Amino acid sequence: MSDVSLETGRRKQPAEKRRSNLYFVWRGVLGDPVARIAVGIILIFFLAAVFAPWIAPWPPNEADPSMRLRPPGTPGHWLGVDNQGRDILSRLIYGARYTLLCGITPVVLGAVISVPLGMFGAWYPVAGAVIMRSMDVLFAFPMALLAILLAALMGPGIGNMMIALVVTLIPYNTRVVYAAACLERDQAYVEAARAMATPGYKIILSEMMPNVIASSVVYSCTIVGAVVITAAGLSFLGLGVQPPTAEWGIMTSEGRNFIFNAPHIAAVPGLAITILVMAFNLLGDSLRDSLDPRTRLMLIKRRK
Amino acid sequence: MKNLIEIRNLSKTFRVRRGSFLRREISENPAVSDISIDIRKGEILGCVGGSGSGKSTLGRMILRLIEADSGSITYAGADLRSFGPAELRLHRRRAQIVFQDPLQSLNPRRTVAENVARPLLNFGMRAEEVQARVDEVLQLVGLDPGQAYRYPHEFSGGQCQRIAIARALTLEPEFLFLDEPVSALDVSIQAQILTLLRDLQVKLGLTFLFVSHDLKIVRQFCDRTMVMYRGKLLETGESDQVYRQPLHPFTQDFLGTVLHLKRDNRWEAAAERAEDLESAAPAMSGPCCPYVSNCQQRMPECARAMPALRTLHDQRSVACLLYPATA
Ligand SMILES: Nc1ncnc2c1ncn2[C@@H]1O[C@H](COP(=O)(O)OP(=O)(O)OP(=O)(O)O)[C@@H](O)[C@H]1O
Ligand code: SF4
Ligand SMILES: [Mg+2]
Repeated sequence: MSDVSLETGRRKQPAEKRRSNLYFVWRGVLGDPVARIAVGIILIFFLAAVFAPWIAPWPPNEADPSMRLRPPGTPGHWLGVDNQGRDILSRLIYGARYTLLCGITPVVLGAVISVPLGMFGAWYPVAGAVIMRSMDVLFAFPMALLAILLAALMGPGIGNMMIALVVTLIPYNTRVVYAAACLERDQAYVEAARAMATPGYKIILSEMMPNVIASSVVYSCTIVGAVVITAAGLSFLGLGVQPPTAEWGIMTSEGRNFIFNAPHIAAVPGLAITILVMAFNLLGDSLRDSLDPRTRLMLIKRRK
Repeated sequence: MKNLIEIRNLSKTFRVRRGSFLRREISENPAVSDISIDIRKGEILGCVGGSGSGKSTLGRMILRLIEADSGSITYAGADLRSFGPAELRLHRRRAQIVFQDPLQSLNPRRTVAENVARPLLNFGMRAEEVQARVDEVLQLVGLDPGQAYRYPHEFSGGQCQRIAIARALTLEPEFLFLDEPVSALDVSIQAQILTLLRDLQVKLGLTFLFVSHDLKIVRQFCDRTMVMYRGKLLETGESDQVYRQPLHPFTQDFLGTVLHLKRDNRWEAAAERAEDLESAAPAMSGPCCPYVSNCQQRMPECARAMPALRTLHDQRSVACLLYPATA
């Protein structure tokens, strides 16, 4: 805990008064060099996805059979060429669209459903028991298996795959939210809120929510990696994104037959997935610190 | 002095349940049993007792944060336990609470100003008035309103407790339940906060129920003292008298450990005993004196019935068979 004495505080410019909570989160993240790199990586991938048609040197599915299996470093194909003669860099850039879409959308949707579910469950014990026991049922299946089962039941397609992923994610995220909300519920500030006649819904939404959502955001960041990999796996099984669409998971699986004579076909998209997953994990770690007002202050101070 | 709060035969038993759907009942924990006491308008009533003796539960029932099982609480002539939502809302304006851990009792993700303004917004005050009132109460507790945009953890424990007191005072209550307000603070800070509370009490004409483990503080700070043990009220009286001449054997042991009244070797023994006075000997089943398993002056009849709280001379009451009622 740090102590700002009233004397030192007075010297600060009043401009600091208007700064919002988010501003401090932002400064906390940027104050952390590791997080800065992570944000940079994610940003690059995002920009690549958005501006793919402009920056990709070739169309993603244009094949030049004469160039098949060329290694990275080939002029004009800096990351090499795959087994059908398609430029890997271009496919990587286009693939970022699907990979980010399949990795992030289910996590966001999962959180949007889990946060109210977990908080509601923590506040109303009976509802909580029902909700958490149903989550336990979903938990009984391993994540990948449940996703495969649901995707297979609903049929192939990117939409169905994302629905399957959302359903798979909900029990994990709900449990995290529920645990965090139960901790917050027993804090003295919640009892204080009751003592000053704050209505129940306001306690949940305006007192507990900011504290609970932080843990869900952190968890969501770390789960993006698992989702990207599961989505890649579903695509690999033919349940998600369909070939020849460029998607990192499909690219990796298509390269498996050439792993010995042309390892770059699988390695390049595999590496891209690894970097993306790592970036989100590091960002999650840093958010954990900067979303918490207690540690955030130390982060900002350390930077001064 | 008029009574602000009259508590009669108040009881609360916590039922700890386990199991999910079947909700089996596992254990019953009588946190407060059959307590009757008056809190007078404008007084500071101290409440002492070991850990788990029901002090917090008692105060929370007065604030209706915990619902009592049986008995009655009369607040300014009205039956508190029958209050509907509208009356309860009004009650929230008159009675407030200050917690032990000041940092925990403030929302860490809200600035000091937002924390202190919350009760005002709940009662529909307009934004510009809220600002003025927040500044006013912060000044009242000796803080610089210019620092109100900061987060609670940027302040020291003593400052946080001032903020918590400010928040409790925003609605201009007449009664404060102070649940160990200084226990988490350094000794030097404790004195400052107690002085502040005393000043506020005089200035605003407040009534306090003050819980503390620290008997020295209760002696200095409180007009009257009540001693609790295992959810029962054992003794009440003017603080000075309770400390100068404790009547109940539990109070004698309890004070002996803390005030070093007994300097002979009995003190050692008492200290050891008091460490787990609350938990050591199992409570005997059936009605009996709650202290019977530790009491050195026990008599056979002590194990037969719970001694009633008897009023003795000069407004002292004690629940012990050693003291037959004089009145
Ligand atoms: N919400 C609850 N659910 C179940 N049992 C409870 C609850 N709150 C308190 N108790 C139990 O009731 C008894 C009295 O608790 P209480 O908090 O009133 O004691 P206390 O005198 O304030 O103790 P301390 O000095 O440790 O704060 C304890 O045995 C405690 O375990
Ligand atoms: S009633 Fe009996 S056992 Fe209880 S404190 Fe008095 S003397 Fe001791
Ligand atoms: Mg307590």
